[in-house]
Amino acid sequence: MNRKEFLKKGLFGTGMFAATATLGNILNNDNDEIKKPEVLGFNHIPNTDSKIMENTILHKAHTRGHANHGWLKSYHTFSFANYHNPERMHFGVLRVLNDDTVDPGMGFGTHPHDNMEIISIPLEGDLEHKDSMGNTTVIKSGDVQVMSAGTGIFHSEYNKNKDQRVKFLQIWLYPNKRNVQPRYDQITLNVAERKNKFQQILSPNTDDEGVWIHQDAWFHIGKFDNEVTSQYQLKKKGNGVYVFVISGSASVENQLLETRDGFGIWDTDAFTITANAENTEILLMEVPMTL
Amino acid sequence: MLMWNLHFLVIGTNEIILETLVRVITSVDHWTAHSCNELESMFEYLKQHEVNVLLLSSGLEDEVERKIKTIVPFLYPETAVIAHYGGGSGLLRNEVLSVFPDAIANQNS
Repeated sequence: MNRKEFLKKGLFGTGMFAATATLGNILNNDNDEIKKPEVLGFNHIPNTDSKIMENTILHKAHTRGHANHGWLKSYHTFSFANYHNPERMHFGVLRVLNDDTVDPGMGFGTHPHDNMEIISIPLEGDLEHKDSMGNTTVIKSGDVQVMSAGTGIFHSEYNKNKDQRVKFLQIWLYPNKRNVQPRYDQITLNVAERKNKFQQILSPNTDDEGVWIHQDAWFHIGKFDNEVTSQYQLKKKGNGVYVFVISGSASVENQLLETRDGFGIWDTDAFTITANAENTEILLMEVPMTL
Repeated sequence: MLMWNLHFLVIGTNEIILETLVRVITSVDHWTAHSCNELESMFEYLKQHEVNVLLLSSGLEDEVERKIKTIVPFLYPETAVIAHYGGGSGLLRNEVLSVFPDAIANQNS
C-alpha cells in the first residue's frame, strides 16, 4: 500500500490528524481565488496611459461590467455574478465595487452573506435594510452602512420610496479573518466635514472616525471645489488606494479621471488629488494589497 | 453557455447558506452539488464520489479549514479546493472560473 492509499484509508478518527502532521505544510491550496502571498492587483492590465509610475491601474467608467435586470441597473468595477473578466477580479482585498440603481419600491429579497466585509454608501434616495440580527433601518445619502458577514447573515435591501429611485455603492472587502461573529452598524456623517477635504468614513479601529471593519482599510470621502488640491497620506505601509470619482472630474497626480472612473495606486506613501470641476466628489479606499 | 460538467461538494455549518449555495450551483446547467457539515461525512463522500470542486463555506474552524486545504489536494488532486467568500451568487461563478477558466464559453453573454 502506498503512502497516499494508506492516508486515504486512515482518514477517520485520529488517522486524519496523524496524516496532517505527516504532511506538514508542504502542500498548499493553489485553488483559492486569492493566491497568497502574491500581491493582489497583479491581474490588472498595465495602465499605459499613466504618467505617474508603474504601480497604477486605470479603470474607465465605460469599461465596467454592466447588468440590467430591469428594476436593477448595476455597473461592476470588478467581476461579479455573470460578469467575469479575469483581468478585473480585485484590487488588493477590494473585491466588489458595484454601482447600483434600484427602481422605486424594488429591491433584493432576503439573501445570505458570509465571510465578507460589506459596505453600502447611499448616493441618492432611501435604502431600507432588514437583517437576521433584528435590524430594520433606512440609510440615505450621508450615511454609511457596514456588515461583517462572518459566519453568516441574512438581509434584504429595498428602495423605500415608491416614487424615487435609489442609488448606492456596494463595496465588498475580503476580511482579515474568516468566520467572525456577524455584526451590523450604520452611521450618519456630517457631510459639511468633507467640504474641500477628505472625511474618514471607515477604519479598522473601533474608536476611530466612521464605521469599523475586520480589515486594515481606511475609506474617505471628499467633496471639492474646482482646482482644490489635497494630499492623501496612506495609513499603512504596503496598502494601496483605489480612487473612485463619484461625480465631477479630478486628477490623481497627472492622471485625469472623470465621473465613475476608478484608479488604483500602490507602492507609494502619498499622492495628490486635484478637482477639475465644481462639487467633485471622490471616494478613496485604502486597502491591503495582500490577504 | 456552460460547457463542463462539474460536481461540487460544499462543506460548512450554516445550513441555510449551504442550501443557498447548492441551489445557486445547481441552477447552472451541468453543475451538480452535494453538501455536508463535518469532516467525516466530507471524506466519506470524497471516497465514494468524483468531486471536481470542494467548496469551503462558512462556520468551519481555522484548523479544520487548514486540514482540508492540506490533505484534500494531496489525496484527491483532481478535486479543486475553493474557499468561498460572500455566501451567495455574487462571487461563486467567478471563484469557479478562476480555477476552471475554460469551463465556460461566452460567459458574459
